[in-house]
Amino acid sequence: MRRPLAIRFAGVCVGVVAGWVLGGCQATPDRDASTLHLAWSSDPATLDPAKVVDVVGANAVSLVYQGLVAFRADGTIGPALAARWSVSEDGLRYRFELDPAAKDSDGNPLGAADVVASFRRLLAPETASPRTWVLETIDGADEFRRGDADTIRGLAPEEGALTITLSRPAAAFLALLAMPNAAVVPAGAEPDGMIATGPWRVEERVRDSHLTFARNPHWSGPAPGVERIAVRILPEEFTRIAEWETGRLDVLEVPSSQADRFAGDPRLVRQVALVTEYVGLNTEDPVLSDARVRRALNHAVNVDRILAKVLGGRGVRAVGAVPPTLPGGGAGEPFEHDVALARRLLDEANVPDSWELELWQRPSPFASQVLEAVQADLAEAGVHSVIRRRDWSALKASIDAGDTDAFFINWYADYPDPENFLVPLFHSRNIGGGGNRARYRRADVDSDLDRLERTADPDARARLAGDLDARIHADAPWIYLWHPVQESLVSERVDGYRPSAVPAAERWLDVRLRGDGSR
Amino acid sequence: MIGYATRRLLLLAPVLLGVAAVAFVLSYLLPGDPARALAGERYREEDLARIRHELKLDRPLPVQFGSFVGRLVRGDLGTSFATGRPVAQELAERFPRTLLLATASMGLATFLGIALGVAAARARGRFADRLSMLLALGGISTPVFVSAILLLWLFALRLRWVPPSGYVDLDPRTLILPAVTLGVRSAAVIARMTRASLLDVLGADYVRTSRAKGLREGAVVGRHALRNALVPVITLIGLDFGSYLSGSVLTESIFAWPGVGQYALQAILRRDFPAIQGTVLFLSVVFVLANLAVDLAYGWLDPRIRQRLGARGSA
Amino acid sequence: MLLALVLAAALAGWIAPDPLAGSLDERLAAPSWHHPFGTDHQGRDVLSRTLYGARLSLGIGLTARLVSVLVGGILGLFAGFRGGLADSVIMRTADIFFAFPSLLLLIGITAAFEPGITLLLVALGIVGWAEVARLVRSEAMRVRESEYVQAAMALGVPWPRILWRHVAPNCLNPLLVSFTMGVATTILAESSLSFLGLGAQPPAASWGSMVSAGKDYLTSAPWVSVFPGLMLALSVLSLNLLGDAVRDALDPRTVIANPGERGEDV
Repeated sequence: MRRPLAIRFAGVCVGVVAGWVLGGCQATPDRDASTLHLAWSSDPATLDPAKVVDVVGANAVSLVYQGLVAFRADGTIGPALAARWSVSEDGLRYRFELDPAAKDSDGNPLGAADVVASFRRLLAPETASPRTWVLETIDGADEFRRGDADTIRGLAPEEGALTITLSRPAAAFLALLAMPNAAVVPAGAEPDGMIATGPWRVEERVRDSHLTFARNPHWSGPAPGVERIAVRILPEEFTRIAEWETGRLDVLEVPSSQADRFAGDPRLVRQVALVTEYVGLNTEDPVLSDARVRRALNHAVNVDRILAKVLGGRGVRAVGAVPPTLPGGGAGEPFEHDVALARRLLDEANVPDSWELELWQRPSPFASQVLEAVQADLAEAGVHSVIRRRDWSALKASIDAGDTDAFFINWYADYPDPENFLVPLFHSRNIGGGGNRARYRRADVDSDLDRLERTADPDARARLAGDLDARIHADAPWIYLWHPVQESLVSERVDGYRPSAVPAAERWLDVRLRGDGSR
Repeated sequence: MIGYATRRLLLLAPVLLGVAAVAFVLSYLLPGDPARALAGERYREEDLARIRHELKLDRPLPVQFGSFVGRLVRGDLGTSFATGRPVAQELAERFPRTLLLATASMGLATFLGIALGVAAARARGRFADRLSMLLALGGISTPVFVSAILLLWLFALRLRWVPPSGYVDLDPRTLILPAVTLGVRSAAVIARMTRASLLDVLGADYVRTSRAKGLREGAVVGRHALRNALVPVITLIGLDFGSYLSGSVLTESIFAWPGVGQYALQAILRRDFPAIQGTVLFLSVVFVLANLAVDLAYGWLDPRIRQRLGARGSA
Repeated sequence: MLLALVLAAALAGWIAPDPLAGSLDERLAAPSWHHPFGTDHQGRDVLSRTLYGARLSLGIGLTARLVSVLVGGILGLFAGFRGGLADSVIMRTADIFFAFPSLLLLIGITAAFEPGITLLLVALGIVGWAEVARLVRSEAMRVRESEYVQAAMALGVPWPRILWRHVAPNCLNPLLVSFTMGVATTILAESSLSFLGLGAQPPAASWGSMVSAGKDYLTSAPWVSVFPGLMLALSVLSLNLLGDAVRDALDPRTVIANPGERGEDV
């Protein structure tokens, strides 16, 4: 043997390690045939309905907890803990009859007391929930959350029913109750999804790695079509694609950078998302406070071209904040791409040549692509701009404090209703963290938005929303971009998949796995 | 020796206090606001103030620092803002995974590196030497994220030999790619060091003596030269090991390996102050201890240094 | 090879077309006569961006390392020569920076302040100074014990003069080695930061940020990230070779002269 010792030793060790590693893979039990495999881009920090604010979290909470009512996949509202409900003539009193069969995943019955306990928890000052606004229209909620009252006046529990009185009519109240924040955790249980009220319960959780949801055996609704949902936490887009390509995922949301690659794939399912992407303009800025300047920027940016080139056509141009699939959506008159007009408007507004627009974004490649294209278009109209990148926490703090001129950002619907776009995004009471990041303030818009919140008649509501959206659009508090088309790849073995209107509606109840389930 | 180790451990205390202070100041210098990060996209100012109060962020900074140090002294790393769980528990869940990855990488790197280094030294000046050293240089010069992506693409996507990502809970084979990504880099460094050090030793008197005694070349290298040549290599291995233990942010996120590196990155992005401070402190302790272990091992292997260590304060 | 790279970086302004000019209509075009390295997602010429990227990456690497070496060198020299309290304070501070997880420190610093080239330089400079200080300190301590320095001190020559005239020149070699080796490390660190989106800000491009932006197109348009990635590896490779050469020429005693060759975050 002339080979050096080290090489021989190395050979033996590599062999041992390889044997262990390759042998080990038989140890995993094969329950594939009844398990749906998904990927999320982040690990939900919390499953507590009172604390959850992000898209992934909303999705996770809606799997394990449900409230009085719940979203169906199409965004309409269906029964959950409440089997039936009625609304009084004046729109102030809601009476919910609870499902007598409702139980938590340990088999304990759920009643009005559990609902009241969860609502109290959301509103209680010591919980410090960021989402008290979800239930703020309940009579007495305001005093309670300030700590001025010990009970919530508007909640009247009784055996098998709950009556809720509102302090003012709120046409979207049922939708608010369907939000994950209004979901019910069994009184006294830890809000970690282990004891569930929804269709699924957390079976296994390894943080940052994976989450396994199993059917809640005591759920009173029809049993879901699969036994388990196995969710991998995959922060890198590149990694998610690789997992899909190797057949280890059943559903994958296609990242925009991969649109071209999967175009024409028969496994693609598309829908216009209830999302609006825009470049918000700080209307309190001395230059941007002039509507002519804001309109000029809208005329300068060739949205159709960016949509076609950067998004590969996966989006619908926004002519308002409200997506066209909602009542009143798509009502605005689009800004023509007209560089000459943009220059003329800027001249009329006496914008100095030295004016520089700061475009803020989070450090994602997609945001960079969009803003670099916007920057190039603005330059053609003679507007000099610089791009500022900050991570999300820093960016949000700057925007919410009004320290930014212009920022690329988006708005995800919490519930499928035009009100959920118009009120937070443009009502002056929501300036800053409330959602109105353009800091838009107009008294006539405010009063019409208040009216929209009260209007229950669907037709009148749609008319009012459309009119408001078009008016605001013409005043251009944003550079309006698009409503992205969400594309999901769904493997052949999955049957019955429908994209959901909002994250909270994605509960995987109707999905089944075909045949032997092999992927 | 024991006295030396004790002295080094005592010196650890002021260093860690310094690290804690830097971590504290740095987390408060970060723009952005932990309360806003928790509040999401639609919140009322009153609720924001409430969150701030519950997180005790409305207290004066010196008071916050005081209670931070007070907690540390009691061995409490605090509670994560984002998850509401103790930071120590979050780290305890994740550190074994980082440890596993670090061990596998260094194991691979050690065998590969030493083998390559020895082979190169024995083929000194010949083509095999040049080639292996060029390979080693290539390994050092390739950024980790580039090699990670290339490995993932080749072995998981093209050849389908291993799963692209994950943790051994899901499939033991998921260890291979991240371990190779990190291991190749260290292997390259180790190979270069082994070669240089071995060539140094092979020129030494006692080696020439054993050669003169008629020992076969393999025996010379294996029995006499290698043992001595490996002293600096072991230092290197220890240092690399120490730095892998403090988490490999890029490798962990690309391969979805749920270790401390990913946790630290998330903590920074979420402005989770207790998590940032706790993680930094923990990783510093690990790093300093790994360094100490290296120094001690070095002294133990090399009697000349052992004597000097007795007299010196810090290295 | 390194010379060619430096030359390319220096001459980028003359030989390459505008790295920012691009039209979305020419998006992700494959390499051709017109665009030898193809175009990126904005239709910009990858060759020209790679050349300008050389300027940025090499420039940041050199300058940041210079900051480390200057700060670390001066402090290390002072600590090693004067000893006592100054030594303790400086070296304990160095210990703190040495123990601090460096990629986290980098992420922290770059996230905390206005991102940009200056910040990168300062951040990368800060991270590297501690190890230089350690190296120089031990060298300065050695030189201080030498007979001629002791003689000069006995003669009453003022210490700043001794430091400058006798000690500093003797510490130059390890400093130079550390500088050359460290440039490669610093370039890699910058690319890691850019990969995380915290490095050079758009539309400027360093190699790291180009690789990062291009990785999403790796399967459909590999040229976007492969060419800058290749250049990155090549230049780090040649810098390492240069470092080896400098070490062999100046300081053959030093076996571990490249403390930065370690761990992922380099």
